[in-house]
Amino acid sequence: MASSTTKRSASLFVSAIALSGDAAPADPPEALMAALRRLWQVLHDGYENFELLVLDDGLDDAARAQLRVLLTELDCVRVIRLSRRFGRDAALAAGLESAIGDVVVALDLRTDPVELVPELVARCRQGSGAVVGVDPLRTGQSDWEKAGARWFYRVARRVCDLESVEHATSLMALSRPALGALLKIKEQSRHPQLFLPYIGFDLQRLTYRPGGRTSRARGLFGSVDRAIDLLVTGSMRPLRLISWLSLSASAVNALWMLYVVLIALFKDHVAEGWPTQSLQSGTMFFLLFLVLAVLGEYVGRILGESRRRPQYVLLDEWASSVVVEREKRRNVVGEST
Amino acid sequence: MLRRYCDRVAVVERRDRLLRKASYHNQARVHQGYHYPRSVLTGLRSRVNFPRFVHDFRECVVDSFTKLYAVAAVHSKVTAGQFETFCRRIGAPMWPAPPELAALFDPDLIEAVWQVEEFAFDAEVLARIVAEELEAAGVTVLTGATVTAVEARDDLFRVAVERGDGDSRLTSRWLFNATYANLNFVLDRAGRPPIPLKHELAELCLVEVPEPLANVGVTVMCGPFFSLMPFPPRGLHSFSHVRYTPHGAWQERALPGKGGGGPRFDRPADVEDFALHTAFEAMRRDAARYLPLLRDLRYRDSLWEIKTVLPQSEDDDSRPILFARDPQLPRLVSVMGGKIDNIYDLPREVAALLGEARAALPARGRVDGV
Repeated sequence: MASSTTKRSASLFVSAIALSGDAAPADPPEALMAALRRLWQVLHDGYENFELLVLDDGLDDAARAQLRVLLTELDCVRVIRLSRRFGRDAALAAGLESAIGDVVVALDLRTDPVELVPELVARCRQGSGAVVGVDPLRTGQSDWEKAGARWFYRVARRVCDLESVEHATSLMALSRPALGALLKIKEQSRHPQLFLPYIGFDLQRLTYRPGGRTSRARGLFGSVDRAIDLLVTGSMRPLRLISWLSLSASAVNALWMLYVVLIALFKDHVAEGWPTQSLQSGTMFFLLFLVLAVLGEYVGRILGESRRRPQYVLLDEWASSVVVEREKRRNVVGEST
Repeated sequence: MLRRYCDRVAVVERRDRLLRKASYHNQARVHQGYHYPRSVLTGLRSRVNFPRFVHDFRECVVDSFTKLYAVAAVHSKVTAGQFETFCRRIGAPMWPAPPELAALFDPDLIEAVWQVEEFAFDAEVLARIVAEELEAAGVTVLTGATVTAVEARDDLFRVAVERGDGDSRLTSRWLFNATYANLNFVLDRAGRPPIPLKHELAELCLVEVPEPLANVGVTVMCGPFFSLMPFPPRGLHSFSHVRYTPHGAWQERALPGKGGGGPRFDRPADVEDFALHTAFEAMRRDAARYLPLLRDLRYRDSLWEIKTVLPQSEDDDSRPILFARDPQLPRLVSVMGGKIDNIYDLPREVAALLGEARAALPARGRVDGV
């Protein structure tokens, strides 16, 4: 905690989004309030201008009652209530869309040390992009979860061409320009952190060990479900792979048809009806897979258009120091045409 | 208005000039109802009173700017369709904003933008007009005067007034308490219980706007958003934000003993009772998300005021006028309105009150104001 003699930053406005995590059962509200107070103190000690956004993503009545008390005791606190539990990613998206700060920090109060906030903010300002907390040891996760994560990153990178921040936690900080770029991506509200590499801003990693309970307790099916969701949201490569697969299957059928024709022409003892039947099924599958391949491409195009993801993200513009037109040019022409 | 029914009327004003407090410390908006999409009656009365105010106080009305209303796409309590329907219902004119102005807004955060007919007023000019009218009507105006005691005896009110140049006492048959945030201070002087009121310490920033907005006013509806209006007395724009303008709030209710928070009734409430720290930076940053040009707003000053509303206005943003006769002292009438055009909604109430009183007097009697 900063001492009373530490100078508070006056020009910077920091927004801190406090998430309460989505594992069940929920922590007792007193623990949440204590964490909020610690976070508030860190913000108050470090910055003249700040706001603390508390995401109520399905908190119980006891917690809400204590939040109301908190609002009467601490200034610069906003509570954003969602109509029901939507999950951590949706809560984070709601917080990002509501934050007004020059730097926006998000953290899970159950697991992320509030004392890291100043370092996050400082590094974010240095790079003018984003800082993401990473936990390579995947603290609190079981062996199968760790193995599953390794497979996911491998598939994401090699099969789906999806660049992601490996071992990212809920801790992150975004500069205002980076946040603005992220918010332009419509589907970011499903998994905001997934698109940090896409926006292309400077992306730093802050390695730390989360405390408290970190396992999301999703179970095998829940984890596979989430993995598929992430891959489908972040990449259209699976659709392109399906197109390739269909084209390949179509090509194989074309070769098969050629084989059948050659057999029928040059072999003496061919079972009656075999060439006709084989050609018919080969033709059907050839056409079917060809249609699938074409459809897959157009579905991909429709998906791309509906997502309206920006084709590029503008970072900056530099101009020459002389922009005024050269005044010495004469506006005289030698002939009329 | 009172002068029509009373032979003598005196106005006791705490400040050194009329209309220097809440009447000055506001966004100087001549309402035409757009601001109240969740309260049809408030919106309708504003729309009805608008042309009358513009006609009666033409000299102070400023209409040389473009006024835009926008509905936010997120967090708004009304949709663009609902806002349009509301305006049609109350007969308030609106039309699509000029494309070059509509393009200034963030299309992801703003659902629609319209141009409307909403003016500003110059409070200093209005104060001069009002002072002249009061003088012409023969109304006595005591400025720099604070009511320190009110005694009700023998059907008369004896009002002790403290002034810089000495104290005085006024005697009156009727007492109209139109002291806005200090309504309950005066009631307390009269030994009467407080009226339930909600107060907010409000900050109104005065700013310089970037050139494209020099002759533009903007209000974003309907929720935790902002409003930017020309402020004629200072040649600047006033800038307010629903979330950041209130710096604290408290309620005054008829609780056992005195209490409810905020300044006590033993002296008039004033902004000097509070530590004042501008919230301009937060306001600017949030507003710039909806209208990016606002990132270049330059802060010049803040006007601080205690804003008073009736507790029932919390839910629907309604702004009814309070016209309440005290149950024990029926000639003590508390009057409170939050909009400059509210005066036009009172003649019927005043006529009903004072007309009856005049009719009830014996033939020789008359109503004495002072």
